Amino acid sequence: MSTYENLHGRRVNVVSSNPSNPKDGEVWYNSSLGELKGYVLGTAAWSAGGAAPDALASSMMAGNKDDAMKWGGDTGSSYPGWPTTSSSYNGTSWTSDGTIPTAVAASGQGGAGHTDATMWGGYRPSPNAATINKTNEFNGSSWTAGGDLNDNREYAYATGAGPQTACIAIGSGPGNSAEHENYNGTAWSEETDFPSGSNFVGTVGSQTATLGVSGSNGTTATWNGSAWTASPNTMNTPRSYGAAGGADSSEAYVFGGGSGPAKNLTELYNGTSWSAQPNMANARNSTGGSGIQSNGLIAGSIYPGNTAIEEFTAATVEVKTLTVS
Amino acid sequence: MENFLYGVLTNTGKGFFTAEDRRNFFLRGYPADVWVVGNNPKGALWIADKNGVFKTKSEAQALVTAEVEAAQAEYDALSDEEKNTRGERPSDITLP
Repeated sequence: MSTYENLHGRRVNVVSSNPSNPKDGEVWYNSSLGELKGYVLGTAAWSAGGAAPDALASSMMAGNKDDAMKWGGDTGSSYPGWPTTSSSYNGTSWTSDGTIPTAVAASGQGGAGHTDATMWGGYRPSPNAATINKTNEFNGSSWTAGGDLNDNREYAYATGAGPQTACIAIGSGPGNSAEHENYNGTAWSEETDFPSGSNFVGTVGSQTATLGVSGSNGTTATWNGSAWTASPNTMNTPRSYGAAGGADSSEAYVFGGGSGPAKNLTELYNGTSWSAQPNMANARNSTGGSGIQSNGLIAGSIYPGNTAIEEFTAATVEVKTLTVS
Repeated sequence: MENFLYGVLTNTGKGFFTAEDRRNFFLRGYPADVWVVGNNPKGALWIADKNGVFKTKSEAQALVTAEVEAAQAEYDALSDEEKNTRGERPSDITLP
């Protein structure tokens, strides 16, 4: 059996206080505390965020847990009566913001935060021509019309990614579409279809490094700007009606989702395979969540309606007390 | 000893449960503001600190079931078109 000395070329230091700049994997004994300490990878976790201003399902979100935008959604009751409100989040609390042009739920979503949000498609009961191929953009003060989609996207279920000038739309219902198109801030352009259709294709990253994952069957593929490459590994628990976020196609999360019983699952794709991450406290489907970096995920709506928000803290290297169990 | 404690607590938003809480004990939220936590000192202290009302498992289950049944009735009253946007009918929930 190897020892710490064999691995690191020295014995464990005995110090009276923790070092100010420890190296990854460094271990020491803190004689003041009587504890063995290490600078090691911590544990990711979800925590409670500021309560949402409304208890809506299938509302949409953009941005990160410290700068987010939330809009639309359905009340759980019959249409009309759905709201046209949007709200921005500063990491602590929500502030009422612009009015969306049409009440809609489960639209596509993109954006970097409360000054850069984009919605496209979405559901409202017939007649739905006002939403099904429309794009609207928020600039921090008002929502305005953008270019029309090439494909109707009625049940986009809060999927999509990218900032306002580089959005990505993949899949939607009805009919488990695999249609893929990209937005440049003015017009949408058709791209190669995603390898598997779904009315929920979790979408993370940029137009040149996109991760797509089908909610119907877990098919996972990456887009490099010109072609899809299917991963041999599918999501562990395929599920629609969830949310997706993360840094790029090599660090992407899907959280919540599920039809029938909602799930509190979180899964991480590392560019090769999916792995389970800590569960959310609340099971959520019809979830409008977002996140454009791994430590920025924010989980929104729950069906039936609930104002509970959760934020994700990714695992980071930190000083931990080492114990034997 | 039971594995879990049951309580009714209002989610007050930011700080209601922290990442540290999640690392320290099992915690899961359900409809009707029912929360289930690990039956250990940290879990019990969390419910008490948040002014939660402790419930027995059967009391907590009854609250959850009542809210789920209300949601199911609301779903059943929707048109077929409206049901499409919500996915499946809300499922029964059995507390751990």
